[in-house]
Amino acid sequence: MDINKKDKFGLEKTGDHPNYHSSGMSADRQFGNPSIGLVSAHPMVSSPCPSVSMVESFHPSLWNPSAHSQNSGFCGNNVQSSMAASNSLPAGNLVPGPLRLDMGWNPSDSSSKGSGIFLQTGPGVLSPSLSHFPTNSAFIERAARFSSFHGGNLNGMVSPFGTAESLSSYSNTPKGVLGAQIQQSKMSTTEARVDASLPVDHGSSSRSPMREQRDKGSLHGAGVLGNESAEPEFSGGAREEAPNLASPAGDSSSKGLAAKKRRRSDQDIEPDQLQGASQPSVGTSKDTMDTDQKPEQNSSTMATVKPNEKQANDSSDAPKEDCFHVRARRGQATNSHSLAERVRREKISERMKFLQDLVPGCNKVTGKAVMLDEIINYVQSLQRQVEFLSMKLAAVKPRLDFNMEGLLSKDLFHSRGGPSSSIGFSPDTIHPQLHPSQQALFQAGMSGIVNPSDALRTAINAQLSSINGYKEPMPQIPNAWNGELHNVMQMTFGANPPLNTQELNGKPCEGFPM
Amino acid sequence: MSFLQRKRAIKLTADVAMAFAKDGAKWSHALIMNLAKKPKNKTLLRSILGSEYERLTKPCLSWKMPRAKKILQRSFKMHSRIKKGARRLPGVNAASVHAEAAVTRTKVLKRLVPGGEHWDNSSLLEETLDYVISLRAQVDLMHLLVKALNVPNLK
Repeated sequence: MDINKKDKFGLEKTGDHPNYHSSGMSADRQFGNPSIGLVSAHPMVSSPCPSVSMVESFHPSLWNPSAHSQNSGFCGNNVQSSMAASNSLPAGNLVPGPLRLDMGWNPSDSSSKGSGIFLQTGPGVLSPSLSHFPTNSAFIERAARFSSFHGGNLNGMVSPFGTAESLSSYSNTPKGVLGAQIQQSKMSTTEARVDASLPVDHGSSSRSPMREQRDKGSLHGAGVLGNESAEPEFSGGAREEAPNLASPAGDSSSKGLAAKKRRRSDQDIEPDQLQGASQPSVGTSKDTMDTDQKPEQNSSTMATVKPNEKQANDSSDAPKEDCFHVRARRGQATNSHSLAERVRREKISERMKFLQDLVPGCNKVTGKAVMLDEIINYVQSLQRQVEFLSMKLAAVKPRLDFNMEGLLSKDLFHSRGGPSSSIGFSPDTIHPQLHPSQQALFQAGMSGIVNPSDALRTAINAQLSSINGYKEPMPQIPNAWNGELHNVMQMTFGANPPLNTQELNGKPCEGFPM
Repeated sequence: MSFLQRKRAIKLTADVAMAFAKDGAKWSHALIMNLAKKPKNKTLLRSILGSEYERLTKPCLSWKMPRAKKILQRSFKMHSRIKKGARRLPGVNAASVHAEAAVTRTKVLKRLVPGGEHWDNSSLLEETLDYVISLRAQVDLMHLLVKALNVPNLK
């Protein structure tokens, strides 16, 4: 029983990493970045690639085994072989697969713990390995398009992280997609400006704020930088959306880091602009600003623009620039409050756009309320699925599975130290329930730890062969199922009474095997 | 262990693993803290998280909005609401209905995402995005496990 949990934990951890490796390697190939060796950063970093690919191609029939055959293009051999094998022998080769990946992951883990701050969604990498490979090529194309756009910036940003050099490729890829999207949707004037500032960015990218953010810890840094990046009043440029894409990928800290870095470089650029350019920039009022540096710089440029004047003409003269100042657009009030409001609204609408891509079937939906509705339904359906699947997994009687999972966990325990203390469970829980035959198998498995994949295979074969002997668990389960199904339904009803009808009628549960 | 106990333990482990895997997000921290509050989860959590247990269950107030900022936001909202109220036409307005619907749904979403009550709107959306991705990965992983373990389908 407990072994199930550890198995899940182990698999989940290992599942993250293959994509991490493979996406790093594929990104390398795309961008031709010579400095990228084995991906060594925290597993989370891999997420932007696969998460965006998920964004592009999430299908309700995600859990289609036939989709596994698409793996060939993307992942490394390990995953590919495991997935391909999974088609033919679901039980047999699938489990050894993650083991192999886990061993590949271990060296990266030890070195990555230090750079844990540079995180992006980790768990998301698992599903792309299963079915999203065709989309990755499109994704990589777009990322490659953007690579030159942002390559220098990110290389400079990432280098302080020592082993995490490959992170630059990851940062490249999400920003690449973002950039592609932006190119399609925004005007090119903003990009010109960003291009001009990016090389300067590279040079002046301040590593110290990133380091100090690292020291503070990811969450704290994310919080502070999240606030700060809320401030930068982008009227919508590549640079703001680049951090935003990193954040949808799940790394608010990296987004904050990027935003802060660009703010610093921007502040460096500003004096130059002041001397060279002649247009005053309409800085937003610093209602929500945390730092003092921006006001100091902006006040000097805002001398001619009084915050409370509504000067549509002035704002129409000032061209839209992609920097931390918000240029008031033509015909819009230049009131400081409304500007800040507008910035926040734009941020929120950006995030809604990303969510729209993520939640299936929301492309045609417009409007905040309906969109939020869909998101809520989707989150609830996912949570219910988790509940249901945990029920299903609980149905697996922990008899023979002990061997397999004990071996799995044992292997994890050997290969990495830290939070694999879930392994501690296995000796405790295995012994009470082992039958003699299983015990013999278990010991054989333990001795075969050196070659875990073989040991697992034997264990699984043993399981399959002896599965006939176990019939008694089945009768008791249906009663428990009824009770649990009631719980699940109650969870549905209790959590959200007003939206009940919509839940029941609305989103179909994807991949429900019932 | 009974069936329900096992199911609960499995779900707990899955959630903890998901949250632990995504250590950079606010919701993961909040999820682990919520799970750690119940005493019966403590031993399991401790064994899973190992050395990280202390660090993760320590309440991290940095990402909760500081009180001063909350007061500022609230006063700003009141101010804008007053201004909007002066301009609004009497009677039921489509815009107002729309806005209210968005507000109620935001509240529901705050309940769904772990720790959502403390964040502001934009970071709520960001964390929701992250959370959705992780949830989806969790579901996929559990599907994988079910397939691997050949759990029979009950009719």
